[in-house]
Amino acid sequence: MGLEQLIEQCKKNDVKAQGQIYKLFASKLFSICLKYSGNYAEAEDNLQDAFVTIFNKISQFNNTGSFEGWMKRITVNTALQRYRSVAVFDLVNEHQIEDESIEIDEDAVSIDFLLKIIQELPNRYRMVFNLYVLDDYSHKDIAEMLNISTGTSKSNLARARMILKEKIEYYKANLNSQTL
Amino acid sequence: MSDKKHIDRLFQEKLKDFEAIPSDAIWESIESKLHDKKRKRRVIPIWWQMAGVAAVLVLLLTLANLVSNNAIENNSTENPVVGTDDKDNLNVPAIPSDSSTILNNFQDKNVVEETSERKYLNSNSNSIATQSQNSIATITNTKTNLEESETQNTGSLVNRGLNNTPNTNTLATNTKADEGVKSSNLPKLNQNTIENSQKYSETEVLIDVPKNDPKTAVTDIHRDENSNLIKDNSENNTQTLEEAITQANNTIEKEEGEKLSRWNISTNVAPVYFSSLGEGSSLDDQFIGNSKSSEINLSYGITGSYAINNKLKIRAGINKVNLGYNTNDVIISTGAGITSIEAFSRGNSNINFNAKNENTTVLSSQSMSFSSAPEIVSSNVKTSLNQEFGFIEVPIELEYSIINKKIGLNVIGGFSTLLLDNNKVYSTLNENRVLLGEAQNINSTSYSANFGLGLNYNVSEKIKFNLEPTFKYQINTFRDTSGDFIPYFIGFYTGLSYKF
Repeated sequence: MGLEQLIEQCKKNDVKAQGQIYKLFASKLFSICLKYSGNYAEAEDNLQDAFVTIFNKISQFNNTGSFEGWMKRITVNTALQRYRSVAVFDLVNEHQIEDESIEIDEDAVSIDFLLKIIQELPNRYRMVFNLYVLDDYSHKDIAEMLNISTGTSKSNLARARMILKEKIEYYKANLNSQTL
Repeated sequence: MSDKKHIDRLFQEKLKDFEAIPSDAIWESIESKLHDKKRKRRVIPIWWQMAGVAAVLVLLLTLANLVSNNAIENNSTENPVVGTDDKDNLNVPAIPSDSSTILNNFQDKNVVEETSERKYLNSNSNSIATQSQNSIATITNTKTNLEESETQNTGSLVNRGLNNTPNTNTLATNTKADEGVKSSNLPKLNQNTIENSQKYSETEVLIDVPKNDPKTAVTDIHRDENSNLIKDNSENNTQTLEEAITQANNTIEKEEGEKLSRWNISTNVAPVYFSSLGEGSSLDDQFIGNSKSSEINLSYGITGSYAINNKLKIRAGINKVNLGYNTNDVIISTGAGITSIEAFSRGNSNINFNAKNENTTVLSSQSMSFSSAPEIVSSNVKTSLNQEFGFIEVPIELEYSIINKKIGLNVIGGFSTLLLDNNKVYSTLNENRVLLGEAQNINSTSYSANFGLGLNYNVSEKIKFNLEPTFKYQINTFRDTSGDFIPYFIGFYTGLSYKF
């Protein structure tokens, strides 16, 4: 059964078709959830909410664009909604910093480690970093999505980069000292 | 700028093809979220309507029964005789109404006939035989209806028999001619009774005078035979009549006996045990994997039932149910230093903290492996969350009896409406219990499907001892549960029931 047929079946609320769509895309969307979430359990919850929204709104999907892209947008939006619902508690340093050059050696870092340090970022930093670096949104878009200024978005991104860099360097230093 | 891009590119390249397989439980909960809603919408209104109708019926029947019971009690205590009269009136139209009215008619006729006979005999004959008959007649007057009807039957039938025999007519005319004096007294009576009494008296005379005429001897034998046969018939008739009346009385008594014991009231007390069929949490996503321990609480209430027939009872009642369970391995941190992680866990939690504990955060010790700040909570000790909730339960159930002897066995099925009346979340640390707040995801009205097995022991005809282990599957009690949270409770209901 082709993807289009599956989508049609899903529009009729067919459980089997929904199950197949889930099987096809769950791991891709779960990676997004993991990047945008603070921990594993939260990512699972996010995935669940995203799929519920996807299947409830699947009739709104017209077959013109990419179905995968549509689902990814919903997943990111779910993460953003979650972020907004707890944003009140999100105490981050609002002092803006200048963007500076950050470079890092590419080798010897695992995906798991990178994911871990992304998850450990303060909520908004993580949002901005994900949206800008991994999902190619502009600062203008991000500012609108998170209800912040473009300046704050840029500043948050710079801080996120710094934190990540420090963690990677610290990790590498530890690794080196252990091997030596 | 190229350097700056470097870290971005590292993440972009590394995470470009990154995929992670989520656990199977996620799909299951998505599926249930997508399809449960519809099921709930369909199922609940139907049973709710049924329950509503049943509740109204039970209520009306109870009221009707109370009213009628009072009325019967008043009648029977104040006017017992009137009560039995009523019964007789009720009995008669059912089966033997015709025969009884006939009986009355017969009685009336009989009296007329007897009086006419007596008058005639008293006035006209001085023989010893007629005197004795007179005394017999007065005795029969005091006898019961049935006997009167018997004698009356034979009387009337005797007349017929005499009419049928060809010889009697001639004999009658002969005797009339011989004893013309008798006819002078007759005009006082009605035409019909004249005829009857005339013929009757004639036969009486025949009995006295058979030796004079050989022809009358023959008719006498005929008459005797006829009257014997007729007597037998009439005896049979009256026996069946008697039987019919007693049978009717019996059946009515039986019916009344059954009617009186249809209603039943019982009290119950039960230890109840709350748990979930699947692994999940009603409080927070992060507690799905945490160990849970259930508490044994108490339920008590009162139930009324109405027996539709020997096998089936419908029952409704009201119970108070307390339930509770503990979520173990929880870390509770208090203070203003809210980190992002804590903020997240708070955002997902279904606990509505009270004012005192505004700054409290609950975390699963398991989820800490993903957090970056174990030092924040390392100073805190593992504790458990104790959730308590209580309901007013309104069950509507059917009870089907399998064995109905000294020891009875029955199966019970039905629904309950659960109205939330207690909802608290405590933290328990070193036996110190602190009220944190309440769960915000317990519905004020929810339902349960009930299945039970009832054992009862008849202490006396009126009083029974009951033991009913019952499984209650909760429907729509919690919103936004995490994982496979399928709540139920089991109760061992014990109590006494009273029949009236």
